Amino acid sequence: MADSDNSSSRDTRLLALVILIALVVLFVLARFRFPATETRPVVVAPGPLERLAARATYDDLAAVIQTFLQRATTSIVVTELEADTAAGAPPRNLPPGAPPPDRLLVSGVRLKGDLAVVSVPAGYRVLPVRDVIAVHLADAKRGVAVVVAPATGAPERPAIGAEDFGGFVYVAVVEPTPTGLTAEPVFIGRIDRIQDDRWGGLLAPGGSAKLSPGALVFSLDGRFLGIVTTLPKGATGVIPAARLEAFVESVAGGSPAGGS
Amino acid sequence: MISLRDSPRRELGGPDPLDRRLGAPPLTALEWLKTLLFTRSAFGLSPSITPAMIFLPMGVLLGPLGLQWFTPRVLGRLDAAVTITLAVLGVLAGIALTRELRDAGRLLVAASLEGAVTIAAVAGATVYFVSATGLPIEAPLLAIALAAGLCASASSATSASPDSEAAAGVATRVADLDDVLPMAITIGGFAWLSPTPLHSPWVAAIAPVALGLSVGAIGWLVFDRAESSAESAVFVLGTLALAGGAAAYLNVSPLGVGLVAGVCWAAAPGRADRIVTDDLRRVQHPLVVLLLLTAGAIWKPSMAALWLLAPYLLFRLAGKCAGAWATARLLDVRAGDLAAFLMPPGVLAVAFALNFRQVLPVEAGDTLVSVVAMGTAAFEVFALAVVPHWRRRSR
Repeated sequence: MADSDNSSSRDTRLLALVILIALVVLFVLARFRFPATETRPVVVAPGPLERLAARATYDDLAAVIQTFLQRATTSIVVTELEADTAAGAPPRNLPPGAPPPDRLLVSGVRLKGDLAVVSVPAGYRVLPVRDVIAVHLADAKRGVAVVVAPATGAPERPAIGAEDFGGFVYVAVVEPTPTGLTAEPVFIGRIDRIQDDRWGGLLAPGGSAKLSPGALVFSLDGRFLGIVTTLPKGATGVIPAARLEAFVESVAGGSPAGGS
Repeated sequence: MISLRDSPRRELGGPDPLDRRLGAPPLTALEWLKTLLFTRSAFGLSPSITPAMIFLPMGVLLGPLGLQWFTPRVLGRLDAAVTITLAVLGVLAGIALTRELRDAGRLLVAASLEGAVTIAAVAGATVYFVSATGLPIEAPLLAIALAAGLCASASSATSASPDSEAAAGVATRVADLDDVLPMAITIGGFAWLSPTPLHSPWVAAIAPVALGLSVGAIGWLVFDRAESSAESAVFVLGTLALAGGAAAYLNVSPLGVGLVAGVCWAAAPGRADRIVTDDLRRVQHPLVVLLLLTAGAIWKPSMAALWLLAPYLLFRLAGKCAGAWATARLLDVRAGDLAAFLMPPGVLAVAFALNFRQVLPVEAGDTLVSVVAMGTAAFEVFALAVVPHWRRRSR
C-alpha cells in the first residue's frame, strides 16, 4: 500500500514536472517573433474526386505554374527602381508619348548567397527597399545591378538552366506586382543565338512571344533560364542564366556600392 | 465483472516473463540495442520498428523533395485512395468501439477523457503560440489548433511490452478507444471548415452520420449473402469505396463515415463485422503503407512547420501525461505506465492530418501534415529509445 502511494506520488511529481517544463519552454519560445514573410494568396484544396477527374491540358499547365511559383518564391527578390534624373538619360522602352514612371517594380534572382541580380533599364537606379538592403554593384552598360537581398531562411539559389535552351517549350515568366509575384506561361517557339558585346551571347526568341524587359524566365521544372533584356533594335532577348551567374560570381568579391 | 487486464495483447516479442521476475542482468550496449529492435513489431515482422518510422522517411525519399516518384500530380491522384483508407480506419475504429462498449463502457469514458485533455492542451498551446509569435497561417487559427489537437490525441500503444505488463493491455485498449472522441469532433470540424458546405453546417454535420448509416445498411444487406470469400471481399471493398467516394463527393469526413458504418456492422445482428474485419485484414497493411508514404511525400521542411512543431511536441507530451494522470485511477494502472504506453501516436495521427488537409487551404494543410509527420516520427523514436529505459528505472 505504501509502495503504491509512493509510486503514485512520484508519478504525480514527474507529470507535474513535465507540464511545468512544457509551459516554461512555450513561454520562452513565444517571446520570439516569426520572421516576416510575404502574404500569399490562399489556395483552397480541390476535393479528392476533383483531382481524379480528367482535366484539360490548360488546367494542368495552370497547376504546374502555380506549383512552380510557390517553390521559386524563396529564390526571387523584389525591389523598386527610381528614375535617375541626375543621370540625365531618359528611360527607354516606353510607349511613344508615355511619360516615364517615377518608380518601377522589378524582380531578381539570388545567384550567390544573398546576392541577387536584377535588370535595371537605362535612366533608373535601384532603391534599397522591399527585399533589397543595399546595391552591391550597378552595371549601367549591361543594364543590370547586383543587389544584397538577405533571405529570411537559408538563401536558395535556383537550378541554372542549360545555355543551349532549345525553344518550342512553355516557360514560366515571373514578374512582380505591388502585392506579390505572379507568373504566366509563355510559349517560346524558335530561339536563336545572337552575339552581344555586353554579354557575349544572348537568346533571341522568334515570333511574337510576350516577354517584358526585366522579367525572369524559368523552365516549368523550376530551372532559371535568364532575364529578359532589350536588344539594340528594340526587340527582346534573354540573358542566359549561366552568364548572369558568372557575372555575379565575378563581382561577388568586390566592395558594396561599386559600379561601372 | 470483466477485468480491464484480461484482454488479449496485440504486440509480439518482448522479454521473457520469468527473466523479468528473477531480475535480468544489466544489459550491454549491443544487447540493449537488440532489445529495442526486438520488442517492436511492424506488419508482424520482427525484428523491426513501427511502420511510421519506416514509411514516413521512405515517403520523403520518394516524394517531390527526393526521387520525385510521388510528383504533385501523383499525390493529387492518390487523394482518392487516401480517402478510402481513412474510411477503412474509421470502420476499424467503429467496430473496435462497439465491441469494447459491450465489455467496458467506463474504458471509453476514460479514453475519451484522456483524449480530450490532450486535445485541449495542444490546441490551447497552439492558439497561444501562434498569437504570440505572429506565425502566419492561412487557415482560421482555431481550425488549425483544433486539427493539431485532434492529431495529437491519437495513440497506438505500440511500445507496450507484452506478456508481463499488466498496464500494457489497458493502455492498448485505451489507445484503441481514445480515437473515438476525435473522430466525432472531426465530423463537426468538417461541417465548420468544408469549403463547399451542404446548405448549412447542420446538414453537413448530419450528412456523415446519414451516409455511414446508409453504407452500413447496404453492407449489412449484402455481406451475409456472399457465396464465396472472393465475392464477400468484392462486396466489402466496393462498400468501402462507396463510403470514401461519397464522403469525398459531399466533402465530409471519411473517418466519420467509416466510424458510423463500423458501429452499424458491429451492432447489427449477423456476421457483417467479422466479414469486414477478415477482408480488411488483407488490404489494411498496404493501405496504411500508402497513407504513410503519402504523408511523407507531402512533408515540407517549412519555417511555419518547424515553429508549430514546438507546441505540438511539448504539449502532446504534457497532454498525454496529464490525461494519463486524470484517468489512471479509473483504470487501476499507474499514471506513469499509462502515459509511457500512450506516447507513440501511430498511424491515426497521420490519418487525422491527411483528413484535415482535405478541407484546409493548401499551404495550411501541407504545414499540418508536415508537423504531424515530424511529431509522429519524433514520438515513435522517443517511445522506442526513451520510454523503455525510463520505465526500467522507474521500477
